[in-house]
Amino acid sequence: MDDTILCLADLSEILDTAMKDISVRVAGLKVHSVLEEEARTLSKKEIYSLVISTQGDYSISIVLSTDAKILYTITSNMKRGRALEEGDIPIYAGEFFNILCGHIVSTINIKQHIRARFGIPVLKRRTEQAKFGRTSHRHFYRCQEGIMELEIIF
Amino acid sequence: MKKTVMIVDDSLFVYEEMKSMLQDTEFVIAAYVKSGEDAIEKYGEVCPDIVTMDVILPGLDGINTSEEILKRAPDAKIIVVSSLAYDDTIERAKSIGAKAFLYKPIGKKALIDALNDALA
Repeated sequence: MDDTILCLADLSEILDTAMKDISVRVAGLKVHSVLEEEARTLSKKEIYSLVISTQGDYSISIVLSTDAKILYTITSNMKRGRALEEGDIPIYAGEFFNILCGHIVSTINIKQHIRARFGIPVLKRRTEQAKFGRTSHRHFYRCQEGIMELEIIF
Repeated sequence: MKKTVMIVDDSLFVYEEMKSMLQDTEFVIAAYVKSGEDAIEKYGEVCPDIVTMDVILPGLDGINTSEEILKRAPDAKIIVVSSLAYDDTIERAKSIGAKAFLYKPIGKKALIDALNDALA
């Protein structure tokens, strides 16, 4: 997506609104924004990334990176106390991310009068500081369980 | 008699949420399938009163699946469900005859209202 179409301030607001709203409503997590300096502990842990890429009038990737503890908490909260089973984390955390990305992409579509869609989220283990080779815009969030990084790659 | 619902969604979370929301209502889940291909087959077996259809599915997507079900059963009542609220899939869903569109995350009232409206 041409970043002149949507300024970074607008994009930041879209990310913040969706992240805070969907984290509470879907995963029962209250999150707040933190600066990158405060989020450095994330890079020292074993990190997993949920990834989607859009197709249509614009191409972006959205990546949510966090550690296993938060993915476990998201899944556990979404299961509302039912016991976790093997394979639950990609399904439940993936659906959380699907809904989050739906809100982000829908808002961009509405604001810009353009259209894009995306497929099924992929969960992968992130290697240290793995990058996708394009310009990116990152936001960091803290919840009680730790740090999450939400990145949009143009 | 309770009205039967078939849920088509690759996410177990959506199924669990809908199951919980439909408890103690006039609706009962008659079938749950995770793919479009399974939905087409199951629809013929179960003949539910209404279907909730996710758009993003592995294999055949929810819109093409709905189109195929409606081709075979023109009276089928299908509600399309998606996390994307602004997309040409919404227009396409309407054009092929879907009864309503629900935006995730789905609340209980929105679900029950959509089911009732679709069957009205």
